[in-house]
Amino acid sequence: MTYFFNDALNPMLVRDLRQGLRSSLFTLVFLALQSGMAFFVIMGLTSGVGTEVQGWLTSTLTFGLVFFYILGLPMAALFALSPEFRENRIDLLKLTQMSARSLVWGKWLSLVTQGLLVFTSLLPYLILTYFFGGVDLKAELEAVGFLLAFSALLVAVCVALSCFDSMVFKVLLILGLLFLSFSVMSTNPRGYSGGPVNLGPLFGYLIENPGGAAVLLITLGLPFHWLLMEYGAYRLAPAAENHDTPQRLILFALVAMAGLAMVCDLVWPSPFLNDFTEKFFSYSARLAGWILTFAAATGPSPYPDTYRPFVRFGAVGKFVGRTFLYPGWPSSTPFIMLASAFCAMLLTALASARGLTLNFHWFAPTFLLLPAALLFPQVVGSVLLYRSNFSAGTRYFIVLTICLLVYIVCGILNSVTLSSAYYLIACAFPPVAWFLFANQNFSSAVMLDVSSTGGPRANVEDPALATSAMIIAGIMAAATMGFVVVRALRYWKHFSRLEDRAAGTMRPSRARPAPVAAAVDASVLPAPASSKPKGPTFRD
Amino acid sequence: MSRPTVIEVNNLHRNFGPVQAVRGLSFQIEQGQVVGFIGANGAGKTTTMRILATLDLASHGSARVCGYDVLEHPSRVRNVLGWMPDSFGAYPNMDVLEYLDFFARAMGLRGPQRRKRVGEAMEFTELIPLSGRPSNRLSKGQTQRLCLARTLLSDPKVLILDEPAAGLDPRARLEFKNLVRILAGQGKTMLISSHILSELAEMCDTMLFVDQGQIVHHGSADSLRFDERALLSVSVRVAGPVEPLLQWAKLQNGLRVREELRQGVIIELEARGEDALRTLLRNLVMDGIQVIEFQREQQRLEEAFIGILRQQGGPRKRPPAAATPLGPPPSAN
Repeated sequence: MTYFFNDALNPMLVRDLRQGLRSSLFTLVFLALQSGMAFFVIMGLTSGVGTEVQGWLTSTLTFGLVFFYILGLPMAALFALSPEFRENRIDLLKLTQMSARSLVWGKWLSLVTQGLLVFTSLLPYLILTYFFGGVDLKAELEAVGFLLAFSALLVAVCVALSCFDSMVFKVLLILGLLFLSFSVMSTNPRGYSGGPVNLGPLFGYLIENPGGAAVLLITLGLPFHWLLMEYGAYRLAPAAENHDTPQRLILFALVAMAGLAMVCDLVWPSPFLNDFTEKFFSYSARLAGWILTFAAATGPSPYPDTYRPFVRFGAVGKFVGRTFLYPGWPSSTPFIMLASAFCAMLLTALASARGLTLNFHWFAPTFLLLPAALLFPQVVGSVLLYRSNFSAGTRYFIVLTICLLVYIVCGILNSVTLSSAYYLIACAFPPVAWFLFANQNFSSAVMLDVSSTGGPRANVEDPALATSAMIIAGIMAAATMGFVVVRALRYWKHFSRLEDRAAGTMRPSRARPAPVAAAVDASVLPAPASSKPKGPTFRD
Repeated sequence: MSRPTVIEVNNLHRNFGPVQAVRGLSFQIEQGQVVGFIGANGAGKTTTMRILATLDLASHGSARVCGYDVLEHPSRVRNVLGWMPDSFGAYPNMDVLEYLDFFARAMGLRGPQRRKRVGEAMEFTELIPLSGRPSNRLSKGQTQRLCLARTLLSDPKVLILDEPAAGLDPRARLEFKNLVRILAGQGKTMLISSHILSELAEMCDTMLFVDQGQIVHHGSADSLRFDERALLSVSVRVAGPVEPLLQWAKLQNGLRVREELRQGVIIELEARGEDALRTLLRNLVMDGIQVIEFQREQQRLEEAFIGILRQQGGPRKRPPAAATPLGPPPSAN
């Protein structure tokens, strides 16, 4: 058994399959499912064809499967990697040749494989239910396919979350992501028709249009899945591996795909493409939001290795890296601006192609305030939490949480006291201001009225008040961007030093000098290099 | 011909928020040396070792292993280095052989080479009889052997062992000590940390004493025991009653009786050096003291270490990290 698994398999997959298949939990679940299935099938077969009992049994079997794949497997995934931290095993894994990516992917793969093993073992029973009658094979297969794909995606979410040991943090993260996804990001990115987009229509779309849903699952589900794996890997190896640049490239790919969908929709207009394009724009905007937040939250890498791929392309590579693609927030400033510009251009093009008028109240602040809203927590974190031992990402999310609290408190105070002053206070925080403006609420207090009592609200339709709010938000945004740009430019000399070190240690293609490690064996170790310049003092 | 330097640490600093865990640490270790890294809990040993093992980043300064900078070439450093942490959790539902096989796979070993390395590591650490036992049901000594076997899988040139003998019973400690000596004989360079000096004294060629992130002494255990800066102590035994010796000692300048023994005393001299010892012995004999034994006292290692700390200015409060104004070099971004 020890040497049974092929060498080419991911070591994490091998380990987890060995462990997972022997765990008492897996054995229990497996036996319970097998016994239950056998019992139901025998009952169904003995009750006669087409009876109500068989219908009930088929529903129960389906429910059992859905329960296992939508709840059971993701729950197991939620605790997939946290024991590695708790049991102090993560350092040992980091010192192997496995990258953080392969650790996370291996974990995900092992869970999905275990899920598939369970499914395979249940397949004979599912085939037997076919003889109960009333089974639409095509629809069943589609449903099973979506169920497995959706389960794999949920497992990815939970594996990414499992990289955090604290249960409280996991719950907060889930709530935060839900808030971002359903509230902040639910701002209708189309900008030409009202109403927030939520997951309800997505599920409707899945049922009514399986073909479109399948394309959506592939075009957006795969990048989403990849992003989740990257978040998990980043948590395992924050600075040693570059998890930022690939995400930014994904964002550019999403923009390109959105453009392609739009062009296809214009060239071959059809209800399918029309609907699909809207869905794609809507959900890719959420992914873009996550990518941009990650770009703004992370610190630059101190490892010269990270900069080596850019240095290979000479001055162009360095410029593109410093400006858009180097990991960390210093390069995210122009990147966010560029991404915002791309998105704005796409939306404008789509709206004009369809003869729609853009909602300026939504459109302008969304793209003008976005960089400041995303980078404000970084600025505040680096100023106020400078001496703390938190990483750049943790500081970022602490400040972002404080902004969220400010929003909630101001909303409650606004509803209780009917004083518009709280509205102005809230606008002094660019993330809150962006949220309010992007939700078209600078002329309405609906979003501030978080208590949703339906009672009297502050009169913020006052143009003077709206203007004051915009001025305050504008000043704060300008100050944030000014600060960020100055700080980012000052990082350039550190990038320059790291690029030099990366270039100096780049492996020549030919005539590579004998490594020092080999010389140790031969006892002809060259004299140690003279004292090197001071290493970069920033870290993540 | 001096041996090549394998570990080189220059002016290493590591700050955790306002706390300076490591402050300007510099040392070099030559190939094949077994070096003890000694200090109290929180002295900065583990932090330094983690930086060397590429598991942590220095705030300032540099460290090289086998000529590779830990910051510039972390992956190359990992290829030549084996790290054994002070504690680690074994995996449930996995036996010893599977545990080592997993790490061998993770280290990139394939096919017959993997099986060979796993077998060699198990044989060396005498784990073959335990190969089928669950890895989380081993005794502390067996667990440490398993961890050492895992560390040896990649045949590293440098071993960094963090508190390897902590919690081991005397027999397991002896076994572990023997393994370390064998590895040293194979030319492996080792840095071993502990806060128990006597434990390391028997294993190591030389020792680094660290306190509050700084090296306070660098040398062998004997250099500490016979530290020239420390007061000389001599054990004198006499034939017959000890009173004449005590009376004699009271009349002498520059010495005092530190401790009375059954047949003698331990005398502490204010003067230093071998001349003082010769003079003392000559005076004893010339004054008619019936000396039957005259032996220079070794300091107990712990006492010597504390003496060094005292000479360095006593226990100090760990200073906070220097406040750095905003702007580059930003420390924690």
